[in-house]
Amino acid sequence: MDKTLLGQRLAEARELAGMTQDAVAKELKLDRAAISLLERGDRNLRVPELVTLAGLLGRPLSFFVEPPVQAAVNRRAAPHAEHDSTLRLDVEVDQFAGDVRTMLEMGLLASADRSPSARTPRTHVEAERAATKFRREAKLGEGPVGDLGQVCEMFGLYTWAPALGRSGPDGACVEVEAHGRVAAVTVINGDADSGRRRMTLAHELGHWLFGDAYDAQAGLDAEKRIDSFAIHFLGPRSGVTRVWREHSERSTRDRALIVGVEFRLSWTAMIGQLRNLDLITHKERERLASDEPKRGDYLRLGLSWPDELAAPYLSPVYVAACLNGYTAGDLTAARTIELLHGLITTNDLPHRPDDKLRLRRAFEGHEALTR
Amino acid sequence: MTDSAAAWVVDTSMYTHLSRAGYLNLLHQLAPGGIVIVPTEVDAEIQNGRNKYSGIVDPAALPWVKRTVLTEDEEWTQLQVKAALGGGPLEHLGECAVIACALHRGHVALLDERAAITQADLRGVQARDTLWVVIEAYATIYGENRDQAIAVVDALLATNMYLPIENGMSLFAHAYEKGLLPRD
Repeated sequence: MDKTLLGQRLAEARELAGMTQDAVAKELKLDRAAISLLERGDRNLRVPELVTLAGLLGRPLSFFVEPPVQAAVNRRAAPHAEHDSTLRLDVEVDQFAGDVRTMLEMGLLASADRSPSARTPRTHVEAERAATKFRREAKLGEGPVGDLGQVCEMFGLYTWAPALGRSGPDGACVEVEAHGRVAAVTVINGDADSGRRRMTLAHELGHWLFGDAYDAQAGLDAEKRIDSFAIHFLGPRSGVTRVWREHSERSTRDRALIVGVEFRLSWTAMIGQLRNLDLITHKERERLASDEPKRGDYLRLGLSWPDELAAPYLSPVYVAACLNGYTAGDLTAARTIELLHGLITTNDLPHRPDDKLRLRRAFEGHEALTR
Repeated sequence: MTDSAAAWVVDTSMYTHLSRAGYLNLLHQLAPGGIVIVPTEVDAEIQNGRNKYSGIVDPAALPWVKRTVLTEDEEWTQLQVKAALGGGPLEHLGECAVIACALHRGHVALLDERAAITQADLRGVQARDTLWVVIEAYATIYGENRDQAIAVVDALLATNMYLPIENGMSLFAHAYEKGLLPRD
């Protein structure tokens, strides 16, 4: 990474922090011109000053000095015609991709075993077939996906769900490679509705499994087929049909509510899938679409679901890997908390056992002892 | 002394604890060419230590300690290691400088912080810690005399240095138990 890129990242982080160059300069007791030069890559800062600046901008130092993940660079360079994005999403993707790369480099996260032959489905039938195949691999049966974040981790996709605003972008996914190990990261909007978050995550899982995360060339048709994969992954034909039939005594609307909660799908996604599966007519779908349920509609039926993937959320295996890195002594407390995006504090860190590896190393490499 | 080996760059913790324990000269006796290198960041931390504890020898007073300033490339590496270790503005600066200096100049890094050693390993930098220095002294200077090595460990523990053993005796007990040293 060069000073120009460091400067760009400082400028982006400052913009996201809502600070002017004047305000930053004042905090650091520097001239505004110095900040301007720094952001243009024309000035050096000492390490302690950069650490202070990073803290002021609310980002870890690694975000500013680590080389960018190539796939994240490609994603940024591509037009976002089919992928709504914002600077905040771009920065979150850059940072989380860097975090996962660090964990791969350190051997704290395992490499994903992704099928090299998987390709984006060409038809909706292929999308459903692919969803069935991957559900089988994840041993999901015909039931709902209970913990989607955990299921995604099984396929090597790690999730970070920060608060990107109710009307913010849905999410993005990029592939990460380090020392021959690969994984994928996705950032999804933890402020969106629960059903929408799950659909977004299932969609990003599709991008990863089909090997096009992030494919700048993916057109609208490909996006639709990946949406189709996502809905069949979350609401499989056999499972949805079974639950639908189990409640045949109820009204169409109540049945849709019950099935939607069972499979944790948004209203729009649920009625869309019921239509896909030919369980409701076009007319019924249109009628249900214009009659979006309120909270009380669910409560009246005694229905509720966990607020999965709400901000701030991190994949559990990723969290465990960070904490294992800490207890093994490979990560400092401060770095562990950075990698966990502040999800836990120093007081929450687990007990660190004695470092017996250090004892072993002390006896290695002594020529006089091996003679 | 192993003259053919790479030079040693020492971090603050090892320098100050050995100094306070009265065994700083081990570095001079064991280091290739009898010289150890101290980056300015480590020197600054040692000076801070001298304000808190008596018995820490000023590196400037030792002809076998060479102080050095990092180059621009080394500073960039120092920054990246600092990013990997996290912490406040002044935390780990010495360790980061040691790793950067050792990496760019092909030296051996003398470090005790486990996370810093992990960073050295990741960058292909050979790292040794204080216990390793004690065992090297045991194997060479002390002619495998355990009592002398035990005395060093106990003196280091008396300075409140963190070591993964309770006392000097247990160093050898653990070593025999784990098969790290052959039994007599």
